[in-house]
Order: sequence, then C-alpha cells, then structure tokens
Amino acid sequence: MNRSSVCILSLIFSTILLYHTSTLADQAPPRNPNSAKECAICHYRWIDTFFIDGKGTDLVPYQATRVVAEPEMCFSCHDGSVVDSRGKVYNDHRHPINKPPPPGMEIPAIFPLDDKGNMQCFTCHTAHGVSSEMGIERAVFIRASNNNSSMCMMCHKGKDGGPAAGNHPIGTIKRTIPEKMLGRGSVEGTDKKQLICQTCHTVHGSPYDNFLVDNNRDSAQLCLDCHGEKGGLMNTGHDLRRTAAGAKNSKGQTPEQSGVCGACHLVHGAKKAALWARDLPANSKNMSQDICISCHNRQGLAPEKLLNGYAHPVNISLKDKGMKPDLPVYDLKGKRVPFQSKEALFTCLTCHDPHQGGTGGQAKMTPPRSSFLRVEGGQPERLCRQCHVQQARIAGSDHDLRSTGPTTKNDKGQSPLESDVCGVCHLVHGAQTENLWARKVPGKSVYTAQELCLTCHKSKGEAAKKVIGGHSHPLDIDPAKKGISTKLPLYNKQGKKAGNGVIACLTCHDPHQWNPQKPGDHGGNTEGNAENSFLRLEVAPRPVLCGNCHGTKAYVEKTDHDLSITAPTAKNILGQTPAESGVCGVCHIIHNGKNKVRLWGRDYGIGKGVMDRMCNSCHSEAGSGGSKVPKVSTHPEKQLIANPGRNIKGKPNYFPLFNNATGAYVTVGDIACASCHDVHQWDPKKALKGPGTNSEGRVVNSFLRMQTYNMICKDCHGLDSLFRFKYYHDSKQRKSQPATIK
Amino acid sequence: MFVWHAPLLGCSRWQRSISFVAICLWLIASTSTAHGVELTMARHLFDIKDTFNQPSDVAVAKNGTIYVVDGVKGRVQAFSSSGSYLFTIGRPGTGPGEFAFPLGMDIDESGRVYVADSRNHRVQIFTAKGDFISEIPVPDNNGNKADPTDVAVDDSGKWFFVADNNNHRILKFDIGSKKLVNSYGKPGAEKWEFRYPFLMHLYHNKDLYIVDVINTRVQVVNTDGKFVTLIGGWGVEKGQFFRPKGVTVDKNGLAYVSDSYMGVVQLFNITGTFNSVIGDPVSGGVRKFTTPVGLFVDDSMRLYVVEMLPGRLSVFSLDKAQ
Repeated sequence: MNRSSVCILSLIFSTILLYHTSTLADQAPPRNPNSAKECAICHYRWIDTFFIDGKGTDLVPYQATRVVAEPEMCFSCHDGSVVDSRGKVYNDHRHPINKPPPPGMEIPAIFPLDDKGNMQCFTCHTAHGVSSEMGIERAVFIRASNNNSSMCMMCHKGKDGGPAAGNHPIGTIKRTIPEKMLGRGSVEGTDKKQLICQTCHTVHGSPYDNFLVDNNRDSAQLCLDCHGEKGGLMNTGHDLRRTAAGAKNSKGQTPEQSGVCGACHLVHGAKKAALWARDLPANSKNMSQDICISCHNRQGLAPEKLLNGYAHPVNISLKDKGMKPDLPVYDLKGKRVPFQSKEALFTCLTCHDPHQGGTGGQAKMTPPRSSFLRVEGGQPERLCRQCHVQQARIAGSDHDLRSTGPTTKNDKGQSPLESDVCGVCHLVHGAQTENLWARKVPGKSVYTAQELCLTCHKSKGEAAKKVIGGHSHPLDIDPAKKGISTKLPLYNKQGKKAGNGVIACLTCHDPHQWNPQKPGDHGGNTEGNAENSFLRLEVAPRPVLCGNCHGTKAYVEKTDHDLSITAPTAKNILGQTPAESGVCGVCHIIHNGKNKVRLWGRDYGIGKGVMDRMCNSCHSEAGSGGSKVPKVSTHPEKQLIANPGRNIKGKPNYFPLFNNATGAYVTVGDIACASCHDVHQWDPKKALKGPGTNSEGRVVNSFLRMQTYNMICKDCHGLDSLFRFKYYHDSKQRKSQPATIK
Repeated sequence: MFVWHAPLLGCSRWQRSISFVAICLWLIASTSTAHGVELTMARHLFDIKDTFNQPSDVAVAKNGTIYVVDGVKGRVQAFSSSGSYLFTIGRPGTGPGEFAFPLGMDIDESGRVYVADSRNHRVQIFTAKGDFISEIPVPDNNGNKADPTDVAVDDSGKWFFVADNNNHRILKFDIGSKKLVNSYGKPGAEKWEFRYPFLMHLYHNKDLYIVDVINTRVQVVNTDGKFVTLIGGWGVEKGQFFRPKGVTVDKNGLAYVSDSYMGVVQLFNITGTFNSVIGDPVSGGVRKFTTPVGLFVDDSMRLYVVEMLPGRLSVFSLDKAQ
C-alpha cells in the first residue's frame, strides 16, 4: 500500500466514523423537548431542531422560515382535533389568502402581509390576544376589535354612508334581521336590528359569492331574506333573467350573475337613487321618474312599454289636491318622503311597485298584465280610489261595466274584467286624448265632454235603454249667456272643466256616483229616480241640482206648487209621483219628455195658449189644483198688449207675454196666466221657498208677480186697476169693458 | 463507480480489494444519511377521492367494505375493497341517521358501524348496510357540551369508548343500556390527563390507543382503566409528534400514528418504542402525506390513510423496509 492509498483509506474511515458519531447523537433523547413547546406548538420554526441545531430531521426538512400562522398551521388544529373549523373556515369560499390585497386597497400596518405581500391567516388573526372587547365567539384571535364590523372597514373603505354614498344602509334599521339569516351565520351589531358588514357577509364558510351568508345570484335569496316583499317580481317582466338575460348592469354583470335584484340595484358602488345599477341621465332632475325611464325608453330594455300618448299626470302634489292616499310619494331625488313633506310628489312609483307581480292569474298572462300596480286583491280600482275617492263609488253601479257591460272593450281591447272598472272609460297611459278617455268618441259635437257618455248611451250601445232623445234639457249652451250663474261644472271644447264652458251631461251627472246623498248606495242595477241616477246633486226631495242654475225657480219648493205637499199622489206623464220625480220633475221632464215647451211633464189642460194649458193641466176640476180653478181665467185676446220695458226678468214690473203656440217670450201678445203669476215663487216680495203648508193665498202672494204702480194693467185700465185687478178672476166684479177703454 | 475505480487500476489486487471495500462502506454510509430512519414501505394500491370534503376517519369491515367519514358533508361513504362506491350513510341534520360534522368511527365484529356525530353530541349506530339502529347521547360535562370526536367499540358490540375532545376525557358507554359507565381523564399533561384527545383505536378489546393531540403523544390505557404507556412525544424527530391525529394497530401489535403537519405516518412497537416510518418504495424515502388523519390497517396488511385537505383516502400494501 503506498502512501497515497493509505491516505485515501484514512479519509474514508474518518468519514464513516464521523457519520456514525453524528447518527448516535441524533438518536439521543430530545433535550427537554417541552421547554418551548407552548410557543413552538405554532411557531414551528422555533423548534430546537430547527432554531438551535439548524437542521432538519429524518422526517421533515429544515424549516428556515416562519410558518406560524400560515393556513396549514392553522388547519393543523382547526381540523376538528382541537377546534372544528372545517365547515366555517376551510369549506368552499372564504376571505382570500395567498393573494395580495386588491389594487388600491390600503392595508393598515396592524394587519401584516407575508414576505410576498400576500394576505395570510395571520393578516387578520393572531393567537396572542387582541384589543377587542367582544366575546370569544366573535372576535377572538383577530388583530383589532371588530365591534360592529369596524375591523372590516379598516381595509374595506367606502362601504358605509348608506344610499347617499351608493351603499346599502348599515346601522340600526327598521327591519328585524330574520332568523333564517342569523341561522346561516349572519351577525347583528351590538344593538338590536343593527346591520353590520357581517350581517350579510361572513368571512369564513360561505359557499356563496362575496362571502355572503346566503346565495345572491340568480334568485337573489339573500336580498329576499330581508326584502321578501320584493319577491313578487320573480318571473314578471321586471325579472330581467326572463326578459333581458343578456343585459348587463353597471358592473357588467348579467341578471344571472348579479341576481335578479342586482340587475337593478347594487349593494355597493351604486348610483345614489335607489342604489340604481343601471345608467341614469347625468343631470337628472327627476330621479324617481328617470329610474323607470332608464329602461322604458326607445333604446332601453323595455321599448315596447313606452309612455306613448297621454298619461296620468306625474310630479304633482297630492296633498295640494286634497288627496290622502296610502301610497308612497317621492322627492325629485327619488327618495321616498313623508306625505306631508313639501317635496312629496306623485311619481311613477306612487302607483307602480316594480316589485309587485300582481295576482297569480295576471302573472300567468303573456305578457303579464299586472302592470306592477300597487293593488289590493288584484283590483286596480282599489288603487285609483286611493286618490279618487268619490269616483270609486262607481263600483257596483250601473256604470260598473264589469256587471252591466262585460263584453265592452276599451281602446286597448280590454274587457272591463281586464281593465277593471276605471279602465273601461279611462286610460292611465297611452290615451289618445288629454282627458285620458279609453273609448273612441263620436265627435259629433265641438264640445266633447258629453261624448264619452254617448259612446255607451246610444242606439246599439251598452246603454241603449238610456239613450237621450228629443225634448231633453239643452246641452252645449253657455249658461252665462242666459244670465245663469252656477256652481255646477261646465266644460270646454277639450272636455275639461272650465268656468266659461258649456253645459254637458257631466254638469248635472256624476257618472261615478249613483246617489249623491247616499255614497254607499250603488243602485244595484235598479231603475233610478230623482234621488239618484248619477245626479251630481239631489233633485228630490229638494231641488238642489236644478236650483243651482234655476235659482228663482227653486223657490217653488214647499209652496202649493210643490206637489209633494199638495198632491203627493199626482203623477207626471212618466207616471212618477212627486217623491220620485222631485219637485221640478212634477212639471218638467229633463230627458225624453213628450213636450218641447218648457219640457212640460204633464198633460195639457184647456186654454188657447200653451202657457195657460200648462197651468190648467192642474187647475181644472179633475186636476190636482181643482180647488183653485178661476172662474174667469182669460183676458180678452187680440188686444195687442205690448210689454216693452216690462219684459226684463228680475225687474219689479216684469210682465212677460208669451207666444200662444210656442210659449216663447214675445213683446206683443196676449196675457197668459204666467204674465201675472210666477208659478215658482209664492210671495213676490220673499225670494224664498214656501212655508210648506197648503195655505190660502192673498193678494200679496198667491204666486203673483211683483205689483207696482207701473204694472201693465194700468195702461188700459187706469190707475184704479191697481186696486181692481184682484177681481180679475171674479166674473161678478168684472165689467164688459176695461175702464180706460170705455 | 467507474470514476472511482480508475485511479486504482495501477494498484495491487489486495490494494484494489481494500479500496473497493472502503468505497462500498462509504457509499453505504452515504445512503444511510439519506434514509437514516427505518422505513416500512407502503406500496400504493389506489386512491378514493370521490367527492369528499375534508374526510377525517376510515374503518374497514371484515368483509372488506371501506367506510370513510365525510363529515363536512354530513355523511359516511361506503366503498368496496377495490374502491368502488357502494352507498352513503346519512345526510346533514340532527335527526336519526343524520350528522353534524362527524369525525371518527369504528366497526364492531358483526360489522355494525359506530359514528361519533360530533356536533350532535352523540354516537350513532348503523348496520353494515347503513341502516340506522340507535343513537346514544354523550352527556355534557358540567354544562360544557360534549364533543365526541371518535368512538372505539369492542368486538362484541357491547360497549364503546368515546373521546370527548373539548372536555379532555374518555367516556365508556354500555351499548345495551345506552348508559355512561365510566369517565376517565381530565385536562393536563400527566398520565390519564389529556389535552384534546382525538382519534382512538381499541386493540384486542383490551388496550385503548388515544391520540392526545396537544400533548403530542398517544396514550395507551387498558379497558380496566389502567394506564399502560405513552407513545411519542414533542418534537420533529422520529418517534416524536408535532400534530398527531390518527392511530391504528395492526394484527401484529404495531401502532401507526399519523402526524398531520409533518405529513408522516410512524410505526411504534407494542412497547411504545419507535419502529419505523411509512416509506415510499418508489423514492426509497419517507412517504409524505398531506394532512393525514384517520388510519386503518386491515388483516391483509393494507394501510388506509385519510388525507383531509386533499379529500382523499389512499390505500397501500405494507412491506417491511430494510
């Protein structure tokens, strides 16, 4: 063996010896292995073998870096062997780890990242106690107090501030956080009903997007957990999954991705009004309306639902109109405000609840017919009547075509059952005329107000039995031109109420109310009379309606000419008693009378002139005025009596003359009963209704016109006629010739 | 080898022989450095991944049926000995036959399945085919809810032990009467004291092996309540534990203990001394697992290892390493 070979062998054996020495040392019992165990149980790097000896073992490699709170270390206890976090922390979605924070997110120094700048468990958690006042069940091992999610917001800034900042409200809310959510891990704030980040988000254990405690994609269950009343829009036209599946919200999400609610509302980063998730005009002046228009426009998602034609007015103050609906009102920013607020306006959302699906039957229609109205029991009239209280009295009356004209169709082809009672005559949207009528009008009159009535009240119309024929009260006349003032509504050519308008059907009739004195009386499809018949004011027993225009005529009430007092069983030509016809209707038939003159409603009596024949229809032996038949009732005819100067109504010396055939006022003619008598006023000096008793008259009343020194009698009979006229009806007192003609 | 032989070409035959032996010894020494621990080679047979979510324990019936506790999904999955899916026991819930995050299980001689239904604070018993038989509530401990993480049943199915993890105690129940027979242990680090007892194995109806997680040991007691021995200890050397989780004992009395953080399965002699570590015959080194938890060795010496985070049951054939 040469020297070199010996050297080589020595080296080999030395190496073997050193190896075995080292192996024996390794096999020796550990040196007080528990001395640092309580720390090294997590601080793996601090195990003596690594930290002191600086080596690995047969089982594990040398640990050079700290791994104290990396996910694997945490899981080594949180796998159920010490704490069971399998379901909550290590199941499906959780707050990201092994990733850097999102760009732009500022992480406070209190939350350490790992050497690569990634978030780890230890970013939020530490095993070494926390400055938290909260219980172990909520905050243990986190680095800062998360009281009311305050720790969440240290990184996630800009998520508070509520709708004014484009975020869902946090803090104390009106709603109770549902048990369903709490059962899924939702957390309430320190106050009852206090909504915090963790009410909707759970950092660990959520299988859903954004660590939400419930699924919010597709059917948006999380939103509906609290906002269950909004679920009515499912499968309606406002469920964009159904009607615009490809449309994207302002975050670029489809309805399926965002969830049905997220298609229109964002919980964070939304437009401020209604947390709106879709485009809005940059300088919107009416956010409440623009929200709707953001889809309901020609380029929008709902171009087929545009507001064409005339529509119900919006942006009006209901309070100013004296309406008190139990409906929401909004300000121009789209915020719901109290009804009494000065900013409170009627808007689209007042009538429409975009989340309301309507009745089951409506929802099944294609397209759905609910129109998202805020209705009770699926009946739109219940909505209309919130404001139009008086008009709602139409329900159940003859004008409720659901029962009296079920096959009628409005302009949209809807039957009364589809359009409901109001929609038969009125279109809230898409009307062709400003008055929102839902029926095509004949257009025969320049005054259209009555023409809506005539769409039904015509031959072969739904109300063919109630067609207005000849010998009826005149229409389209301006009462002012006849010296008549009235508080009844008049209508202009556009069919709108106007103080200088003309008389229309609607002047006397309120088509929405059967009985003006009994709002609850809907008629029940019975024949009407002077108390009801959709009259605007009562005609019987008091002539309030007629008296509104014919004020002086209404003094007939309670006089001997009020047959409800003196002849209650007498009947007019329609067979109506005074109780049925009213005091006016005893003598005048407003519609479809037999006689043109004065719309006379009784059979004529004897006499040459029509005016006298009207009087004598009662003042005859068989008439109801049989006890008041003058022995002499005629003045000599063809005396060419002229009354110029005495033919002005209202003057004390008024002395009308009449055409014998037509009853028209003339200035030269014969004296008629009505020349001396005003049949509507008992006492010429008392512009009042009568006493209500069948009393005997005297020279100062007895329906005589005003007696003055200038009465027409003196023209022929001289001044003494002023004292002799009372003998006019007494043949014994009369002479063959007038005093002045002798 | 060729490189090392070249300088010796000019030496005598004796010199060359001496040199060759020396080189071989050096090479042996180098190999022992790389594998300085006894290995029990585990030849991989197959994996069952199914759709587990953090499975925790495994037990194998005499007929070869493999049961895996898939606790997060509130169920126990049954597979054939070849790994084919057979049936599911239970679903999430609180009713009979339903589970709330179960963790451990055992099977008696007749094949009945016992499941520690942890958050329902009970043990449920099923037939081998998964039909619900009964439930035995695990009582509170002075107002603290029971946290049964494992059950170890005697072969005859007359009684079982329960590891009450959070209460640091071992409970013995009579199955017939469903009554608690005895309670052992308290918090601490001495004999018969525990810090989070977790999975267990009952060997030959006599010795109960209890993984004492934070005490980083396996405590062996007998069914008479007497302490037997401790296995392992704190550390990362062979024979030591950092996070012991599962334990099983094969028919020869060797105990297998998984360490979920170190990712190894170590074997211990019946006296508690270190025996070996599961090795990988392919790499020739220590076989590394990812979060190994529940273990089982059947009579045919197949090793079943549940890996929790990967959601996998791996099946191996065991061969003793050099």
